[in-house]
Amino acid sequence: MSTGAGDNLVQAARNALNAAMVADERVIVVGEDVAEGGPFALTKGLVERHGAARVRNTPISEGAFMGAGVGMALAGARPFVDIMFNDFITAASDQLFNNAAKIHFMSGGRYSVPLTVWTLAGAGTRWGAHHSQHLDGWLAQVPGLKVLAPCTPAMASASVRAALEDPDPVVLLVDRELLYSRQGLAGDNGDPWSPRIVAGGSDLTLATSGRLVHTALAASAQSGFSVEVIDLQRLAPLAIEAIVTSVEKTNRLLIVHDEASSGSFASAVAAAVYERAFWALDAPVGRLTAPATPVPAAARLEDAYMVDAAKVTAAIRALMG
Amino acid sequence: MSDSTTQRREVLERHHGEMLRLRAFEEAVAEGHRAKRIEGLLHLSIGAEAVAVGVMSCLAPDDRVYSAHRPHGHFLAAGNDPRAVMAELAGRESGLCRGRGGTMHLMSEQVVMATGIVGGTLPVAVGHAAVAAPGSAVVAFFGDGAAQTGAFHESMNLAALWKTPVLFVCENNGWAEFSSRAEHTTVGNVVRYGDLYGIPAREVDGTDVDLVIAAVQELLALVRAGGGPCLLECHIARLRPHYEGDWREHSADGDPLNVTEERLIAAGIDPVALAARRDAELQQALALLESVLADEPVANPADDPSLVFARTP
Repeated sequence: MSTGAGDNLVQAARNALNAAMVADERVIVVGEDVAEGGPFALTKGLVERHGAARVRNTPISEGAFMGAGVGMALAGARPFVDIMFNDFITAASDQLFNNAAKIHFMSGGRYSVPLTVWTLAGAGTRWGAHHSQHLDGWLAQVPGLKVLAPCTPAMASASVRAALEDPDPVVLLVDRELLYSRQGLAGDNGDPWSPRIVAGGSDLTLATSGRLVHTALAASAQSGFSVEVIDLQRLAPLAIEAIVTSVEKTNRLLIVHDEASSGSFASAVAAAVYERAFWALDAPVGRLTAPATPVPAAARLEDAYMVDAAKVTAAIRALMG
Repeated sequence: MSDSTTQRREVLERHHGEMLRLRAFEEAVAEGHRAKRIEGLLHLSIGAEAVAVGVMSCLAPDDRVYSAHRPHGHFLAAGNDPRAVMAELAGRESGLCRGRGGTMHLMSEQVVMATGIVGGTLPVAVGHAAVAAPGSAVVAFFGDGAAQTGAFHESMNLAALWKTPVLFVCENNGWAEFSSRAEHTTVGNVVRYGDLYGIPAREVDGTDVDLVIAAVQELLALVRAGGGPCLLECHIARLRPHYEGDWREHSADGDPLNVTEERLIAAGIDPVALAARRDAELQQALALLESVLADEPVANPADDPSLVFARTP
């Protein structure tokens, strides 16, 4: 299995997964068509290298195989569960929310659930409302889940490694749009658990994650203002300190996030910043998200639904007055 | 009396003693709940003792068990310290799960977990079994109400496909919450699903501990031999309401303790002595309740708020 600096995100993730399987017999891959390589080749070649007992095809039963992942974790394995699209977590939500997330707490610390869930999110394919949403706010709301949203091949690799080593359930929420991206960023050798500043600035803090990190960098350059862009990387539990520190310097915050605005992750960030840094703010916190509608299928409707660079630039300018 | 008859009687007495212990514990819990000294949504397993004791008596130390929402009997029959279980129900820091779990979310070593979600532990049991050591088995308890969940059917299908060593044990009490099985499904008995999924399946009178043991031994041998999952349906009665405090009526027939005691009386045990044993067990369980309420430390919000994660980032 080739590995190199020129890998795109899915290749980098696959190589990290393969390396973890080589290093640790406990790592087991579970999901629909994983022995066939999966729809995006995430698991291509793994069954040939590691065998069918460690690369386990499942029926289209997200509830059962998410739950099976929990059971494997309780038995001492390190399952890597592939939920093809995060929309399908709805069918597995009892197992993820009621079991994986709560077992460490409910058992008084006797058990932990070292479960990794890889799942894709995001619009832009005209695939409609069941293959395109972003469930960031929903996932981040559940105590006991860790959520990482890597935005470069190197950080995807680091996130896979970190999740498989972690004793708790970790959801890797990956933007589908980034799967074949080779775009790296300065600081790609850092810690996937911590927010990172990917562009320094003094006028405004822009907090974002996933594909929108790249969008935000482009939009900031166009905006005419000095924007400090924070790649949150970890969505849950919320790492608020880095945002507060930046806001205390810039006195303005714009949160840019791919998700419906209702009950959003962006709302939780805004509330936390109001609580922690209200007196440092020179303007209300701005939130730029998709509207509170399902993701539409038709091209012009979906384009209008999505956050893009022009909307980010406009939001920066609006917030700067 | 022949040696084998004596031996059989001793075994039956041992199982009867175990069942009595489970019954007395839950009667004490019910008493504590009536007096508002134990809080929580309590689903008792009174009436299911022969299944709990019968199944657990067939297990090896490395076998694992997944329970459901009437879990107390399973946890006690597997050898958990009754004091730790009682302390958990009473919300004490010294409880089995430090008071964080409570009645429906007990967790321990051999009986891994219970659940408040009907059908919620079945997929977990399948996954656990998929990576279990060869020769060991996982028992997955569920009620007949769970047979109508997607989780049940997905789990049966996945276990059959993967040939995982799971023994699915249905405790069929004929009721799903407040309505009868006939109101939940047009399918007669749960055992019929075995055929559909190609899983060896049996049904037994779950009030008879001897019949339960014979069926479990037969099916566990298949499971341990690597033949994949098996299904056992145990017909029992729910001798308490759906939850403690509910006003609706419940069954008075089908008490597994009566079945066992009739057999012991036929084997020559004095009925008066049996009644005295029941009373002694109950007094002991009530004393345990009093002792736990008096002496075990109450779980405190200030104690270890980090329990949400094993490693706080």
